[in-house]
Amino acid sequence: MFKNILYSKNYSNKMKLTILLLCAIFCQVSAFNSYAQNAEINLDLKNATLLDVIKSVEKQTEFVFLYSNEEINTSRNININVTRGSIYDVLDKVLENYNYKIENRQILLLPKSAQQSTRKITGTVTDEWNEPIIGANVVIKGTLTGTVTDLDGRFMLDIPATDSEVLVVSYIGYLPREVRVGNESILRISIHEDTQKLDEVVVVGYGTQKRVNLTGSVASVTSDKIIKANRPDMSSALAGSLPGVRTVQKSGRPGEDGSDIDIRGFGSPLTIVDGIERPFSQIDPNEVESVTVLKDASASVYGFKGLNGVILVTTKRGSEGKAQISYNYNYGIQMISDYPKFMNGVQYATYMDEAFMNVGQVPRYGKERIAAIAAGTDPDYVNTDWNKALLKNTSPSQQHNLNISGGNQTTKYFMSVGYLDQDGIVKTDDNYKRYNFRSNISTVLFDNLTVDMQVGGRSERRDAPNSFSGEGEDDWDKFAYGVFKGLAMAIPTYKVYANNNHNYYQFMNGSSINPVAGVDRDIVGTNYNQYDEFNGQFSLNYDFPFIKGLSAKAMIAYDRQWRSVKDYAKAWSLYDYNSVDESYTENVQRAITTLEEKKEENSIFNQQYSLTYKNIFGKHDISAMVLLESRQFEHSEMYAKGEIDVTGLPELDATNSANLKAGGKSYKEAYMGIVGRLNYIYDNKYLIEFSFREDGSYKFRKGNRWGFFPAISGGWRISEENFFKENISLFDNVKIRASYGKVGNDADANAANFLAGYRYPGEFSDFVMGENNVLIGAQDKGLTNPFLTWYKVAMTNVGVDASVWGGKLYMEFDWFYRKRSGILAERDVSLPSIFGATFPQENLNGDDNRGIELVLGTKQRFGDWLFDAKGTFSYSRARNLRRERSESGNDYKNWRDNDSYRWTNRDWGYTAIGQFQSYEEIFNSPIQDGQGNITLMPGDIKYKDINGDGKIDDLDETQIGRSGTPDIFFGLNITVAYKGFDFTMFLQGATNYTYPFGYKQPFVQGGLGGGYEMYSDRWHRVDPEDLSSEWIPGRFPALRREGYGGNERTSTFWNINATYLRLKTIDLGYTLPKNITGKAGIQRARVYVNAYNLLTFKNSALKGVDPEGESGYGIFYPQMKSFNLGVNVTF
Amino acid sequence: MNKIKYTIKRFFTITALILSVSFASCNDFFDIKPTDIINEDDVWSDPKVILNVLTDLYAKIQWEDFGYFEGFWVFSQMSPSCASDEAFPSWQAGDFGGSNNAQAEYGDEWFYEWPYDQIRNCNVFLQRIEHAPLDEIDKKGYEAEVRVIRAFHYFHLVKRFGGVPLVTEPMEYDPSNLDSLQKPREKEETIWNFIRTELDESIPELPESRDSNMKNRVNKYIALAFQSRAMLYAASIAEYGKVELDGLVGIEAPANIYWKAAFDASDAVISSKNIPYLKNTMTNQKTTNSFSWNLIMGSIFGQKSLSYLL
Repeated sequence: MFKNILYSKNYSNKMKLTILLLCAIFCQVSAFNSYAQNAEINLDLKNATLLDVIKSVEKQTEFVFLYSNEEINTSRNININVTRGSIYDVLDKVLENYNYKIENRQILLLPKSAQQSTRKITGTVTDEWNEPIIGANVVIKGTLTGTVTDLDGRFMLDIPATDSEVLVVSYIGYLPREVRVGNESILRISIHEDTQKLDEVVVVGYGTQKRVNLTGSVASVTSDKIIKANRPDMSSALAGSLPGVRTVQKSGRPGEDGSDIDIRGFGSPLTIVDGIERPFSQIDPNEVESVTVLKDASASVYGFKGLNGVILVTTKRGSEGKAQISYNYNYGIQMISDYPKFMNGVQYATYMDEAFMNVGQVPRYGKERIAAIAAGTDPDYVNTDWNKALLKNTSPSQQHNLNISGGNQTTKYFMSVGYLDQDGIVKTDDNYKRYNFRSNISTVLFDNLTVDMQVGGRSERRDAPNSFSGEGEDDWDKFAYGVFKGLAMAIPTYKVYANNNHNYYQFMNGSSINPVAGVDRDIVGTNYNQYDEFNGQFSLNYDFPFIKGLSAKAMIAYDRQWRSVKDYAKAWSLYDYNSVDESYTENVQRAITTLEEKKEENSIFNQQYSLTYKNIFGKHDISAMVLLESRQFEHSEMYAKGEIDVTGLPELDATNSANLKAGGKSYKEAYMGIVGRLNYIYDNKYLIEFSFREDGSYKFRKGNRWGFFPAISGGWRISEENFFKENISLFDNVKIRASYGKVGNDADANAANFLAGYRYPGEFSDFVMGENNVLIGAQDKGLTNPFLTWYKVAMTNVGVDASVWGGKLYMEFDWFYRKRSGILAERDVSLPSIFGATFPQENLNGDDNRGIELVLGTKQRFGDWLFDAKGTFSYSRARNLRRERSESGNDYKNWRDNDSYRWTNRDWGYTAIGQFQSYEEIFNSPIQDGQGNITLMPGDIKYKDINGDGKIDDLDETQIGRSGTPDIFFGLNITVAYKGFDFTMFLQGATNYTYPFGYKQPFVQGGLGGGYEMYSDRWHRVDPEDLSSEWIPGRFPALRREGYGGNERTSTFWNINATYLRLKTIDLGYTLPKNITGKAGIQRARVYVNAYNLLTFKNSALKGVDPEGESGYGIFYPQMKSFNLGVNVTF
Repeated sequence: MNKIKYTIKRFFTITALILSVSFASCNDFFDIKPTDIINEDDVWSDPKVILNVLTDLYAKIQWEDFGYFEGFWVFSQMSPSCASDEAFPSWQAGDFGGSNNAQAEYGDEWFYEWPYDQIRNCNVFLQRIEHAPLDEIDKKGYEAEVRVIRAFHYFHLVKRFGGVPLVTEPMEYDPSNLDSLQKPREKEETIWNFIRTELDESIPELPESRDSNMKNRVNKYIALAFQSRAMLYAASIAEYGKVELDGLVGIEAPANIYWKAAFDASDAVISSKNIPYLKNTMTNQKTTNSFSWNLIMGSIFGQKSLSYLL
């Protein structure tokens, strides 16, 4: 190659040789080529050849070009216009097929097709504090060749021996940087942290926007934080990172331990995954790139569904670069976190006897028997601890995930498979398995047509014993109800097995059912529940070539959801052992074995077509979008139930065909909407956005179907103003923003409310008209409301974002107000009862909700230490506005019953002023029981006689506190990193509310079940048999078998101040040093330990009770805490 | 350049195709028929479905004997008649109840639900049957049947409460005139007379018997038996009761009308010889004030009527 120089016309042979030698010498020297950097060139050529350019450059500068004539491209196709540019600018523009090398003032042109030699370069990558960055990507621009910096931030790379190479240096959380290598061999590159993530692009409704330009109240969290939470499901993984979003776990059962999510106290939000409305909770968190929450009018682009806020989940897409293979494994041990302990046999017998004696009755067991029970010698009763018999101490779970991502300039891909296996805490096989998969591929065709295909899905399988209680309300988990009701009702003086023979479960009198038998799959049968979901979507994105910034997108998505349940309820019995003739008396619990199979399917088809325009004209930054969306939903279900005569195969074909019942139904839904949005930013300081959605729903009659939902929001980046920059340079970003928008909601409306007709089949409408002739009745639906429409919602939000010291300290503040009107209610109360019909739903009621959110955070670095803390505080409270009701009869009733224009979370009850200390006090106090207080005992709750009439009745009820959902909740998220270690902690808490303590009587269900051990701390006599002995005080009132209605009233005694702080996640990880892992070809390996729900700081009165859980009396599946161990490996 | 043009063209064609297929008609898109509701007009133009509406009316009659249930559990099947092998409700087709011990005790709750929604359904039926596509005879037959059912509801009401508001047309809701909906109670006598006249007018239109697969519907003799029972109640009240509250309770008119009506009705049934098994229990009827054996209808199921000791 260098030989060609010898053929150049411009140089004599001697010169050529000199040049050759000089080249060889100077090649390895990293000279600071200042001339090349500073020389200014002006060119304005059209249809010129390369030679023309060369001549022009040589004329203007001291540069001299060296090249081979044969290989110079002589076509006249160069157009160049450069003003005061550098030689690099010129060369990069004109040299398509050449590489160049600049030696001082000589420019060597080397055809690209020629074999290139490479040279080594080294360098270090540091941050702005000159700390080395480990693991930064250093890639030759335009290729896949690259490397990664080592522990000292150093890298070594073979690059082609030209001067035109550019390196792209990137690292997560840092602004990427392009560095021209020139002819240098040792580079020092520093990159700056993107502390404010101002350039971060955030997903918003139907699009994306830079964080710095957001005018709405939008919170987001990225994949690294989601993964740190280490939860198997997405909803719990969001805990605490997002202000205004509260996640509360309702049950600890595998597969059902997802959290309820509430945004600002509004209710369940809309969930969108990759642009389509879908459930998101059971998506593998390893698949997720980011989650954004729209809390205010920014959600109004979702029309009918946006009123409670929107959660946008985006899955990972892959990026340019070498393929990365990641494997994540997590093994966990779960334990019950808060659950009451039930009395064992001895305690139960002792306390039950005391309860009898307290009311002057003969004790059931007697001292001798109790001693015998304790010693295990009593013939009939034993000392069973049902908690131990039914619940395990720990149960395991494990999760695997393998994902691959990578790509090049045109194609990017991300693929993931995951597997979760979780066992329940009940001593049986109660298992949940989940398989997830996803594949996102994107490729660019013809330079401006992007094709995306995203396919994902999962299968969730629950395999549990057939809970023997088919009861339980619709919303309850039947398994949990069956199992935990059984546990609560089991009287602990019964054996588990009759005669200790494991073939026969002990029968228990009364309402108790042996709970251990109730979860034995071989005895009671099984319930198998499988849920499968498939998501597929395909989109085309076309960038118009002749209009810059205009693009069109078409997306279609098809989802299917299947649920299939197989409920095999076996006939079973419990037994009593008759020691006289050594026989077992059978007590049938279920007479006939039945099998029920149910299948449900949903088919969802979504389409979105949009046109987007984005452009910047000087100081004006405009983007506009128009989008058309439709959604069609079909549901169908079928069931069949039959009896199996002989215990055989659990299949429908094996059932008795005479009694086989079958049924099913189907329905459809349809929605369509048009969205428009216009964003305008002037000079990067003034931001404004208009949007609207015209939304139609199938639930309303033609003419009332469509709703128009506009929104407007604006922001002002004060920090960009000159006066601010000059005078208050402390703040690097201050933005004030406000938004106002309208949304609607149709979720509560009954579809076809406007249609007058007859319900078929009617309810309880069958009649035997004659022999073998049962007809099904068609029942009049009642009055219809043709004017029924959605209810209207208006949302206002005002906020301030500020950060100082380059993002080291930041804060966000939001105030919001949401008003709803036209909420559906029935006008029943105003019609006379002889009318004979009830009103249909009408748009009558209203309520509003207001609150504030505050976020304070800091990001600091001290040497090798990195510290990141973020605290959030939220307040939200709702108030009723107009409520449909008939007028109250008098002022008092109006104050008591009329909840219009009042806060929704008030609790009514009695004011407890202590517990009665003695009978003397009892008989000198207002009458509480309507019988002169003769039923009271010391220890019973004493109520305040508010109206002073000498008796305690419902006229003494007042507002005693705030109930249910807390108004104020807060969170703290802390991350500390040091060298290879990283530590994360997340806490969530709430205050300003009371929790209704559910254990108001000592024995379950009025003495029919077991007892709560917490009642050992009760008022009792020193000697229960001696009615005149002294009373010893305790926390709970004295024992009575059925409990005592007077003590169970809602009062300040039971509504406990439930301020709490819960350590939800604590995580400690260590990333192995690169030099060790590098040998095995592993890019990054991290091991960690992690605990979930570890500690809760709460009122000691709530021992055994979870302040975030459902209030109940033990009949629910308890929340779990867990310890996990895991590893993340990236190849 | 050509490649680009081609791409654009192709893109638009595909888009247009997709759009035209999906959005063929905006309104058709939303036209989803509910899968469990039959349109009002469809119901009243189809004789078969009218029969189903009638079924619903029958199903909702609350007979104490068969329609009362103890406690909250509707399916406990512990109605008084279940306490023996006397009879059981028609919807209990199949095995006799699932209840092993049908017991009734003092203090058990026996529900009676306010029946005006059923009265309204009867009124709506009577209003709409006029324009239904049926033969005159069928129409008259349906009309008569439903009038008897409506009379049943009023019978159950007047037995308990005395005079009640008499609603014979479905009420219209006019928000500007809510007062018109507030009907006062009628006198007790008015209601008994209503029952009498309704039955008088319906009985001629009812068939004497029906096919076995429709035998549980009202026929002439069932209506007559009912009239007899109701008139006996009225006669008793007129004869022995006191008039109070301005006629809301008690009957002023002489009892003879009612004794006679009861007698005539029973007579018609007996002389038609349509109740074979009662031959043994019959005695002379006397139109005297003395207590007499009589047919008292316990059910309108089939030809088997029941005799009670009052």
